[in-house]
Amino acid sequence: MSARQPHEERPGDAWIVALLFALAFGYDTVEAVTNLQQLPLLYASAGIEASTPWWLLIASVALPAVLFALSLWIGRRMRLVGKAGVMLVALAVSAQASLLAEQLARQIAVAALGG
Amino acid sequence: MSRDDDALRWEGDEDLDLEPSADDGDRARSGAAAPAAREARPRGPLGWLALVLALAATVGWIVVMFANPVQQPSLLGLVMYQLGELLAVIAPLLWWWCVDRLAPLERRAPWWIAGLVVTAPWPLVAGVLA
Repeated sequence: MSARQPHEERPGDAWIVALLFALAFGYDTVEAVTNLQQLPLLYASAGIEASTPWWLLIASVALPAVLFALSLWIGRRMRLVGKAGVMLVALAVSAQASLLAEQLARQIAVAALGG
Repeated sequence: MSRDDDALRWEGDEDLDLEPSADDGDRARSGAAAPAAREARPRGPLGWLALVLALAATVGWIVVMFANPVQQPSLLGLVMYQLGELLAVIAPLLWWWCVDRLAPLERRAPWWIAGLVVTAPWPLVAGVLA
């Protein structure tokens, strides 16, 4: 049996990298769940609870898991660096989606208060 | 010289810091360390156009960051939020680069176009339309 080369990938490496990215996507999900709990209270305190963007809050909770699953699927036949690159792109898109959700929630609140 | 003796001497250690050459024996032939970066991957005009648009999207996200300063209640929250902002800013270029390096040549164009749509600075667009 030949010795393993230093740069050779082990099967477990991909799982370790996926686990690390899962933690990051998990943080995004926790943040979205916090928003799902807190934002309706904020809207209610401003008297605009009817305008609470439930669709946006629920989509924000689901999106990190969807993006993580997509990145696993897209990178399934790639080498470790490729898998990590795809997962990093997915994490970056998740971050962009969080910022977009924040902007939309702000605009919805402003429109409700102004109307 | 035994391994223990060798460990106590400096001679020859400089060679350990050198980058391995391409014809460095079994490792290069194994394919495990074959660098994708050395493959010929012509980009063509669409690739360069996609890069310019990705750069423009990055600038758009930087504008979004500066237009919406946010305060966080904790240091961890602030660090994570700023990390998210950094990721959001580099996302267009990161997408472009990953497609350039990883996608098969014939599938790069649709992936680049998809990246431009997905990573466009949508908060900026939403703010302008509001």
